[in-house]
Amino acid sequence: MFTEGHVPLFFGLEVCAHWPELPKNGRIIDEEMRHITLAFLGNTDQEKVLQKAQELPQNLQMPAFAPVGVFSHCHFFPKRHPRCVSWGASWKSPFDTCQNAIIEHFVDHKLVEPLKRPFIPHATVARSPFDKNAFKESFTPVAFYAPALHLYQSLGYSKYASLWHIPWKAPFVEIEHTADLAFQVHARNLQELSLHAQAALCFAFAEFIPFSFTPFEPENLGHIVYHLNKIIALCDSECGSPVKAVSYHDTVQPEGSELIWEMIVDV
Amino acid sequence: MSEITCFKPGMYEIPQEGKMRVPGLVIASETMMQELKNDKSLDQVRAVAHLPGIIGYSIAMPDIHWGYGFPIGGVAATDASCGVISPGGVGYDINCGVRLAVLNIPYNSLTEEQKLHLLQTAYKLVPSGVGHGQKDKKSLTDSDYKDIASLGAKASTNLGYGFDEDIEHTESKGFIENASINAVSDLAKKRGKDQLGTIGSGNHFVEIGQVQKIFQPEVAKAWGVELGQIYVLIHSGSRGFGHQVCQDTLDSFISLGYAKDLPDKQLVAAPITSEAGQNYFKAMASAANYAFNNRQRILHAMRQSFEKVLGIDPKELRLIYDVCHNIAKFEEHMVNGVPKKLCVHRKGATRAFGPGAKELTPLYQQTGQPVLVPGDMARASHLMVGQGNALTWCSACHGAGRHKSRMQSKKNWQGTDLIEYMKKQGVSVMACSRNTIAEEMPDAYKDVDEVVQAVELAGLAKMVARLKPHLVIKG
Repeated sequence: MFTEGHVPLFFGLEVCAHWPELPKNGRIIDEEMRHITLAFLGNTDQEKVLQKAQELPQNLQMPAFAPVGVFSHCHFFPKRHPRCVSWGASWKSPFDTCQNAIIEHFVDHKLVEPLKRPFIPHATVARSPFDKNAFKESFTPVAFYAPALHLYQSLGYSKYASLWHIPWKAPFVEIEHTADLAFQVHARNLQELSLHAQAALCFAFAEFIPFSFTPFEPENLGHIVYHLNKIIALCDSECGSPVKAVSYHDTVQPEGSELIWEMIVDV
Repeated sequence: MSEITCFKPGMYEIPQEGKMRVPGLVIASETMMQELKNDKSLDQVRAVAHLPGIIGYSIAMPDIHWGYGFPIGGVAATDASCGVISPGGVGYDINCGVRLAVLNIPYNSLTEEQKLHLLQTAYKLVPSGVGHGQKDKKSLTDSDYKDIASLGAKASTNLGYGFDEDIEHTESKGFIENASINAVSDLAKKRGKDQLGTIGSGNHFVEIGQVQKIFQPEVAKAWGVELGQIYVLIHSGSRGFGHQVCQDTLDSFISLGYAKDLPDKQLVAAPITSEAGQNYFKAMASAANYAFNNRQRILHAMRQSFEKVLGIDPKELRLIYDVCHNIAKFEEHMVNGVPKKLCVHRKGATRAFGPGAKELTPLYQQTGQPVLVPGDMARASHLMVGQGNALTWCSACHGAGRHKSRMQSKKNWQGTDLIEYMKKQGVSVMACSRNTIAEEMPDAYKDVDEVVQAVELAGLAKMVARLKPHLVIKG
């Protein structure tokens, strides 16, 4: 039954990725509509939810940078009679705690029912009808980052409107470089810098994903560059690398509480 | 900072200041110099001038653009007895270079069907792009690597990939001395084992086209280059093998402390006479010899393509020359009237020996050596003849040089059918991905005609022929 002021809402994460071409045989969701759902609120009071949403930053420690991850699996939901093709996300940033805290906040404020099963972060890319085998066979891992938390309204036909959001700083930005590929990488510390640099490489070239994101505690920028070049070398040995190397040329620049590094990749 | 001044046509001096050991020298036209004046690449030219043992000038060619450490399009010579050798002065793609072959058949005599078939056959026979190694061929063994390092391009001709004449038409006869495979890491060998005979990715290519214009008829005649003739131009290097040699050396030099106090670690250099310096040269030479073999095998595959499509005897696709444009070589040059052994680093620059140079074969001793200058995939490439200009240690440019980033180029061409667009320019392109073509669109590069005119103005090399591409395989 329709209640005035009640609309279908959910909290989700915006996703930034180099989406590959999907099989034509499926009801494909537009790239700009793809997101990672955190919590369904159902048909609910928009004003009440907005008010609670705006309390979020005061109650929770938000990530300093947009969390990075990899869509590593292709799922079909629900399992018995699938209606959605959804790519499962595994976080490479330590975002799980924050994600769970956000969901718990909604549960505590009775906006969402407590979850019966552990939450599986995922982004739906297509709805039925679809060719399950085609999607299964064509899937390859894709790196992404989540630049914002949104309160979305479902408009129907896989369209969503953002009613409110908290933006997070991008962990890396591609910048102009005449001959090569360059990124400005941001982080709070060297370990995070290494993670974000690997994410930038994987974001640009999915080939590096299988060789990246192993635990590593760098002592300096040189270690990070060395590690990145090991990734490139391993990738080249196994399946070919689209780039030659990451250069040693720059230093890490502190800016307030942040570190910034201009990473140049020789193409 | 003091003014950059023009002291000869096409030559500009960056004054020696601060801790620079030598002045800088920029080869450019007046228009180019206006654009370059505040470019970051000139800061890199100044930085290179700090290298211990550098002699003469820190040199920038007209296709110069900002790299890291050394600029791309840079030349620096150091005293072989007391100077340094720098992997950054060579680049990751050791002996990236170009090879030109010609066929005495007019390009316009080919039917459209033959052209398409030729392109498709070449695309099949010459692996290009990422991860496209020689799948049907066995991986290189340690014994193969030993031959490649110790024999240079002969390691391939001995196995039937081409002819003895090819060796005579290759810079340094396709062989850099003092190579030692023992100086090369297992990881480098692992990376390169399936990549011999492949173009790779980035701006590497194979192109087929026609000789469009002749500027020096006598030189062209001596070389057997004729108007309207078919040409094949190959651009590739030492692949992952060479990249890893460079990486291993950078890591080693840095860990040995040679990068201490350097503003840019990519400038790191070791004394040539040190163990580290010697080891780098041995490994670099091995990688250079790998690259010579790589281009030799790619030419062989192109000969097979022509044989298959046109029934041409492979010998008829005749190698004109093969040049390196990322290398460090020991050469003797006159310094203050005295012959001196120098280590000449060319990173995105080509050797351009003039008439009489002892290293050249008799034909090229008479004329000067061919200098190959690839442009972009639509407008032109150039064949030049070296003039042996002493100020640049007998060096010239290596290409057109980019002036637009890959990011910008992809953005500019979003939504355009690139294959169709290029067809309208008279060029058929094949590549593994649309992104590759978008990054390599012609307007991403400087006008190669302007670049070679600046080189000629400065007296480094003279234009011999303009080459128009028609069938292009991009890496």
